[in-house]
Amino acid sequence: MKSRSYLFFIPTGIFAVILLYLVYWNVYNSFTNSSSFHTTATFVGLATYATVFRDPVFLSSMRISLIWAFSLIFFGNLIGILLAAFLFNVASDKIRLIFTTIFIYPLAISAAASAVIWTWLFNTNDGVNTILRAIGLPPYSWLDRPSSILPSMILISLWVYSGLSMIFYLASFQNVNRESIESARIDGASPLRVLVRILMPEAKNAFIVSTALLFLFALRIFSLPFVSTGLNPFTETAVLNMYFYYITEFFANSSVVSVVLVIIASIVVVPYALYGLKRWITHD
Amino acid sequence: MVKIEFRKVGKAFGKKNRKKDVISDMSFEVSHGDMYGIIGASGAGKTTVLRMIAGLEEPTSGSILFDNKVVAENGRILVPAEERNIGMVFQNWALYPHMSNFENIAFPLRAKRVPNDKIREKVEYLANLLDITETLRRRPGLISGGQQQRVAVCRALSKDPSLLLLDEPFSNLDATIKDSARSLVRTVQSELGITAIIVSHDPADIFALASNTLCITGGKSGQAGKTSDLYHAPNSIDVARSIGEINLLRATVEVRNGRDAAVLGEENILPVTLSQAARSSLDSGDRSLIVGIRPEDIRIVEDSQEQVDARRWLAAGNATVKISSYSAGIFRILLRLHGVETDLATTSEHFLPPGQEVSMFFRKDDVKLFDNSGYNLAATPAAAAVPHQA
Repeated sequence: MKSRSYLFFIPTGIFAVILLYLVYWNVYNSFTNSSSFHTTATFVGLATYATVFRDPVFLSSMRISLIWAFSLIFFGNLIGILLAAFLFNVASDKIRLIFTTIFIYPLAISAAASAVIWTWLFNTNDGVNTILRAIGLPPYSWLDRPSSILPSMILISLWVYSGLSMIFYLASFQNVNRESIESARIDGASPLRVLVRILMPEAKNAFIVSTALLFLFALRIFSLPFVSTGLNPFTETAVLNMYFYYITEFFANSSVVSVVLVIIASIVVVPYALYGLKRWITHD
Repeated sequence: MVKIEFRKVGKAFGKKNRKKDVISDMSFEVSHGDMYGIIGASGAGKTTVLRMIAGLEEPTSGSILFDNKVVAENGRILVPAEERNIGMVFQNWALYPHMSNFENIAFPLRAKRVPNDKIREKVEYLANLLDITETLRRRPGLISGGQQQRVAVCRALSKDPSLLLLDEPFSNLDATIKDSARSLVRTVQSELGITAIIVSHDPADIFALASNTLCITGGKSGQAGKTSDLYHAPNSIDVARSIGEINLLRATVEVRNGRDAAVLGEENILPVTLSQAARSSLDSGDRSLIVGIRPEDIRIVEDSQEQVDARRWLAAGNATVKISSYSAGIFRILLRLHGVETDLATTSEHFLPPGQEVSMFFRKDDVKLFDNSGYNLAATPAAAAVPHQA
């Protein structure tokens, strides 16, 4: 029985080997000077890392990506919690299903399509500004000013990914003992008190998963700024994934950026994996 | 304190053409300050009734009144749960696992924005009353089941409710601590003088706590009244079974020596006195009925020479012991009455070996007669016993 159970590991094992090899190759490549200009790559130690970390375009892209990531985490979780709380308090299953579909539908649209839609919605003359003008508010330069373009892009990504966060929180809320909620209701607790004192303390796992995923999705963002604002490394939306295009001839530099992304992602994901493993071992 | 009244309440679950009636045409009243029991088999509708009282479900039809004021009727909740001033202890206690026991008890008070010093005073008073002061700083997961139950009771009482609802509050407790838990609830209810309703499938809970009881059978009110009346004079077999164990024997009514008698099998004759209505009902049918006798109303006599007071005991016939088992200081005996293909359960202070022949007697005033539909014929056994025919 034990020997047969190892058979199940074979597919994962094969892919793990391939993946680990590629990771190893990428890490090794980051310590060379591999590029279109060097036909034979030579080991240069940390020289490529130094080059990349001294590049103001890399530093700017890193800054923009991290701002994007932490904004998406903070506001994405917040919106996810509020949407989940709203759906949790909807009495009708049918209405809950309708709203759930509406909130997660943006996930089904490709990022490029979302970018096209919102580029029109954020047009100076049409879209959202039409509504603002209709209610007496001044129009806003969503994508036209350097100071507003990044927040506008973050807003779009919140529209796309908040639904994902909502799903995790809603699942967590629905796992809370129904009698606890009813007991709180009988005791006169408001929906906000129920959310803060009863539902959220039970949503630890949802917070961890949602934060990890929002962070990883933020680091992977490319299509949204690329379609909306083009491939210009000197704009306020030039994220880390766009930096790859800027240094496309310099393979070793690209490897350095990949390694940096992996390290950043690991800082977020590994503690969660260890926490989950600890809970699994201690049956908590 | 509050008075509760149900007027022809019905409750159905499901949608449109697939509605299922869980409760139908239920009417009863709970008086001010009463400790009221609701008993019934699993699935009878007890918890549904309690949830409607709590305001967690609305009645499909009929009205629910608190102190003569309608709080819910005909599919609408007019007074929501949070405005009924109810404290409720759920079957699984519904304690908040991430809060300390202090915070669990304080939760209703914090929801009402009571000042912190008043909260502390109240929580410490209740914790002292229910003897859980030393557990206040701990979380529910770190205390025993009995202590969790007391924390749940404290939480229900913390907001000075006018009505206390208990949904199977002892079902998750070990048998050894159930008695002390029942005693605690009884003490708290009588000291605080609040109206309380306890729902349970266990007759022991009802007998320990409730002075008046509603027995629900098949979603309907089987019988409501004093708990002792439900036990000694059940309206039906379903009620009799819900409130305690009862042995049931098929019999036919015949006239023997000029009086009515219930004949069990071929040889066993129990003289009975039937009302005119009961006699008419039996005459219109096949004259068959069901005799019910509770285990504690059966007397076993091992020595055939022993004299038995015929004013109090009816000779049912000879029986053979099938099995003796032991539980909680008493022996439970299963016997087969000769001529009747039914086993009867009773108790004995000492062991009776399987196969032993004994004489069986039924307590005259506690023999119950039911018609074939299971309803009590409200008959009483005859005052003078017909001699047992061997």
